[in-house]
Amino acid sequence: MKCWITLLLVLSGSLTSAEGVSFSRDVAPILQRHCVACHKEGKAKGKYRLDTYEQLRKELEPGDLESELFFRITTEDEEERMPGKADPLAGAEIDVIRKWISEGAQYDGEDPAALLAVIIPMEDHPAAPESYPRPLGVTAMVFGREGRKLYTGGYHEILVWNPEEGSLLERIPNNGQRTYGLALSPDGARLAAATGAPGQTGEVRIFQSRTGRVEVTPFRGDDTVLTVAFGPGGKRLAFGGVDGKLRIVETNTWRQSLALASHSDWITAVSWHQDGKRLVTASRDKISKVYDVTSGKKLSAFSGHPGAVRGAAFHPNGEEILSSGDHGHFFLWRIKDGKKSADRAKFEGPVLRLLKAGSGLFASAPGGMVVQFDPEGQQRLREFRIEPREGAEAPTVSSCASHGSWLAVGTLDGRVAIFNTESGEKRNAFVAKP
Amino acid sequence: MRTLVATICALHLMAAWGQTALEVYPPEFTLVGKRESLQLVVTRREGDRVSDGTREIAYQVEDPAIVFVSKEGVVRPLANGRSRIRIGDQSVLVTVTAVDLPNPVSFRHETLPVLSRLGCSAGSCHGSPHGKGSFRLSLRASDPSLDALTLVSEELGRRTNPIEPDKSLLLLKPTTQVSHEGGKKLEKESAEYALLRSWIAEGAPLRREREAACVGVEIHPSTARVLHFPQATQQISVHAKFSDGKRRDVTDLAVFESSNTKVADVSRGGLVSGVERGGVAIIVRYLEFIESTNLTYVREIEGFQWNDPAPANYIDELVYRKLRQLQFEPAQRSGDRAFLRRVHLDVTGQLPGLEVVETFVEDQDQQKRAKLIDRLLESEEHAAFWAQKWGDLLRVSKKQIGQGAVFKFNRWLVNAVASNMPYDQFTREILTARGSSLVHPAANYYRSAGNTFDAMETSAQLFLGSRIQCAKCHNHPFERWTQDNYYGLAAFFSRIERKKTGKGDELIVYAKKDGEITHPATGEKMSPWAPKAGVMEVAAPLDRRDAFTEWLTGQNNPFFARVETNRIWSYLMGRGIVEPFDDFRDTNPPTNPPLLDALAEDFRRSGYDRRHLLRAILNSNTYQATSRTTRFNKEDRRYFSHYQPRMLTAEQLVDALGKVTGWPMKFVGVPASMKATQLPAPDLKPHNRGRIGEIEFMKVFGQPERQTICECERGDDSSLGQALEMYNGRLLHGMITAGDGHLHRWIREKVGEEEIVKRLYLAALCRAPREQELALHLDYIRQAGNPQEALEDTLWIVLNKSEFLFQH
Repeated sequence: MKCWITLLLVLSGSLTSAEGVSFSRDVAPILQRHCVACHKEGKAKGKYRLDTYEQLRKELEPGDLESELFFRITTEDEEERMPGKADPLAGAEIDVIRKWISEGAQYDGEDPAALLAVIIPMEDHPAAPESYPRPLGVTAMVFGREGRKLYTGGYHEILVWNPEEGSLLERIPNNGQRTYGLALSPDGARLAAATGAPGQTGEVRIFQSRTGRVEVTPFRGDDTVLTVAFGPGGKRLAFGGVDGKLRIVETNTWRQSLALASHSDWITAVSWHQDGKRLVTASRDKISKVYDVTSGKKLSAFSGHPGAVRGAAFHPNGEEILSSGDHGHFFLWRIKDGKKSADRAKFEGPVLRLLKAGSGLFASAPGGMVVQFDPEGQQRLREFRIEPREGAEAPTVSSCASHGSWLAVGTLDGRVAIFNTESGEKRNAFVAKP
Repeated sequence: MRTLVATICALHLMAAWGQTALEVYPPEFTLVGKRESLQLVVTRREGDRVSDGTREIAYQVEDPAIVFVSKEGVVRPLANGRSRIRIGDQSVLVTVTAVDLPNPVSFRHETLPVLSRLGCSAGSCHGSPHGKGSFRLSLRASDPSLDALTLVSEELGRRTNPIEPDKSLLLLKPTTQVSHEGGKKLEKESAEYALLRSWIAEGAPLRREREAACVGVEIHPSTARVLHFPQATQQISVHAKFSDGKRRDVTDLAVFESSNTKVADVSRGGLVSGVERGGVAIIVRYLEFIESTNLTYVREIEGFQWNDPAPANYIDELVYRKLRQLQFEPAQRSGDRAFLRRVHLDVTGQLPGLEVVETFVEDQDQQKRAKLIDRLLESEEHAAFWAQKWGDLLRVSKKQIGQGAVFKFNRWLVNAVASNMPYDQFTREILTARGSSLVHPAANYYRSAGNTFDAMETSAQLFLGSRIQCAKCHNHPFERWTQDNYYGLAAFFSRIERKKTGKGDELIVYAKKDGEITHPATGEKMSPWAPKAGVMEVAAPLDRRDAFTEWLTGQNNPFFARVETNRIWSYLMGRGIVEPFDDFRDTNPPTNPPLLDALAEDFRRSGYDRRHLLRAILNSNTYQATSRTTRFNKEDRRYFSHYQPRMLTAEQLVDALGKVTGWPMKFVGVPASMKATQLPAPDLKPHNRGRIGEIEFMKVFGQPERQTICECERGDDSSLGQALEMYNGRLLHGMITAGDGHLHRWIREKVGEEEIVKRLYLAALCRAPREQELALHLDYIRQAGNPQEALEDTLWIVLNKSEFLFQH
């Protein structure tokens, strides 16, 4: 009997702790985990959204336990109960929500319109495993300023390699689970990472490249960020991902200066024009768009891609865009009227990465290949190929980086190869796995 | 007292066990590797009764170090070696090997089947053509290489996490650790979870070296079983056979489905649980292989006694056998009036005239029903009405084939019914039609079936009762039809040339010497292929359609007679033995297989004489049974214990209204005397832009537009529109108030009110009003200020009775 009383005291104690329930710390994680997939912007089942405090308050009266939200999670009627087709919320979770509503459904964040995923307090990322049990797909890479370092995305970390020897130089911890884009600021001082845990979180993190310290996390979202790029001069940082929004932050304040709902599907790539005023996006919605970053105005769009667009870059003439994607085409189209001017190449499968570099344009192609074009994308100059592992199919090229005459190619089976773009020879190859 | 009860129970049990024979499946088996398991199936046999004992029996393992057996009869390996498992006086010998060796998960044989089993790749979820939530799997894992790409490499490996497998989106979503629109599909503690997790942890390999191919599956029990409540469960086991000779128990990887969950449910683990009496097919799928087993559930109904009616013919014998087994009571024969009305409507589409009702009722001839049936089958109305049914199926409409062709094709159909053209000849004339459609109207078949695939799909649905369309893009999810079959069948129709001459609606149909079908996935040139017959080589000058028709109408085709038999049965009984009648598949078994077999055999032996078949059904007690139910058959909708009332079709209703009111509806573009049940097409009325939006009575009542070959195009739902038409619609109002209609003529002729009411009842319902009904009507008419209007109201009331609107 005594035990029971103790237990009850412990339980009630945890619920009536002095500080009460915090929305962002206690309530938001529950809603994020169970409700938001079906009740968010763009997919508001029952015309009901729960992805921000502002939205959920529309149907919630503080103190009212009869309100729709609370009724739906507590009703016995399985037809009515939420989450649909799943187990009901745990008793402890319901208690938290009950208490929060009873206490007045207060908001303890800054912006009531911020996504729940963003206001949930940030904790440090878990440490990466000492050694990886399996290779991880190399989905992002960038060379250091001098070319002596190659940064690749690891698991909750960024790995720093000596490209010539394939040796691991450093491990930069406290990063998102996977890294899909890496960018180095023009002065080489900062490393921006587009990261996230698929289906759960997304972040843009800024690291000091010298110390590996996290300087700032200018963006958090509820799904992965897929691409990030510093503008010329490094004053601005553009990025995009699963939420289809093009965002720009000013690097002096790290404040967001632009957020545009620009695509109806994932943004897979962004690329700046050298004037720093325009940039081009690529999206899974089969469209590529050009924006004026100061006004946020859309200047042009090309919707002639038969499939998802995975890469886009400005033609050196500044009047045209080169874009490629799942369809395997390498299109050249005019900004002026959004019309195709040429179809430069046709690959047998998806072109996942398009890299614009000093030595030309690089397009990843099926069969573990990267094809080098001249900067106009007109002439096919050279091919670089990564051989399949024994008994396996050709690898998928999942990232590229270039520095001087070096080309680094990363694959989904976890390998990195370094090529010399002048001689065509392979300098080095290693498995990017600690 | 208590001891006595206990003793009796014990004795009872002993007696039961004393006569029980046990059968255990399989007698021996080899388990390879630590992940394989074996589902035992124990059958108890007492006399001619069987029941499943899998979960009610003790399993004794001789060497418990080798295997473990659960209460559910699942054997799991523990160590290499051999052990016997004793079950009563039976035993199973299990050999275990390779438990100590690495046993990587097979993507093809394990990962994909598990995703199928969880429902991930179902057509309503990620298996739909566009997937769900940007995650698309091939339907039921029909395209493993596409799924490999999607699961492992698409979107840069988003769905699997090789470092921390439990954090793979593929596992977080279905367990709802990350919210999942499809709900919870997977338990973290389940074997399925463990398998998917192992596969990811092993690096999500897509192929295994020298992996033997699966060549088929076997299920147990495989033969039909009758199960008696309350022993209503049945465990099913599934074995896959591989090209290297190995067998593996895949009960834990297969997908189970019940054809009718009102009769029985089946669990993910293959345990069938009976719910209600009736027949059910349990369908098992592993990879692309499908097998099914039929179970019949029987329940003792309290107070039920077999009334042992005398059968009129073999149909009744077989229907009664089923009813007796399921303990449904066969209904009494209907009265003469109900029969007369019913048989007229079914055979001719028309109500009997009021003048013939009393004559028929008073006729003392024992054979009068049979004689009436013969007479009606010879009538012109019969030919026109049954030709119309084929017109629906063959898309005979102006929109599809043109005005002129409509009349020609319809005339051909009417003649075919009138001359009782044998069904095989009828089929042949349609399918192999050659030359000018003006001379051979059946060639219009290839006008609506205007291309190779349409012609094949139409022919398969009409003559094979198979909706094969799904197999165009993927192996049929519920059926044996594969994509290969689809394109093989299409090859029969790939060399048909259709040329319009410009002379009226003339179309010339002939066979070309070339024209090939290529398989879209393999690019292979397909040779003609037919079920059971296999690949057929048809040399160039021969028309491939001839080969097809020869196979179709020949002995080698199990479908031909059954499909037409079922169609005719369904027209007469309102429900097919297979329902829908053009959807034959293992998942949709006949409710009474011996009945369908016997009818089809009778039909075949008669030389495909459709009138013979009609006569046999119409003369059966089953057809002539009353629609009134008893407490012992009111729940039956599928076994023909009583006649199921059904609403008149649009055409029948319009004609019935015309006949009762004496003011039939007039149709445009056809002879004035033509009735709705004889119209050659539903769209002969000239297109009039000014009248778009006009409500057409027959459309409201479900008249099909004949744009598809599916009988389902005919609407059989009741609707508000129908209620409004019958309440105060223009057509009905015009008919009731028509000065030249029967009612107003009778008023002018000074026929008495009572006589008028009686005539209306007789014409509409084939019976006189009951005393109470008559009194009510007469009261109303006599008290009304305007007796003429009151009589119109009376007619309106009669026409709005369910008894009029329904065939019963």
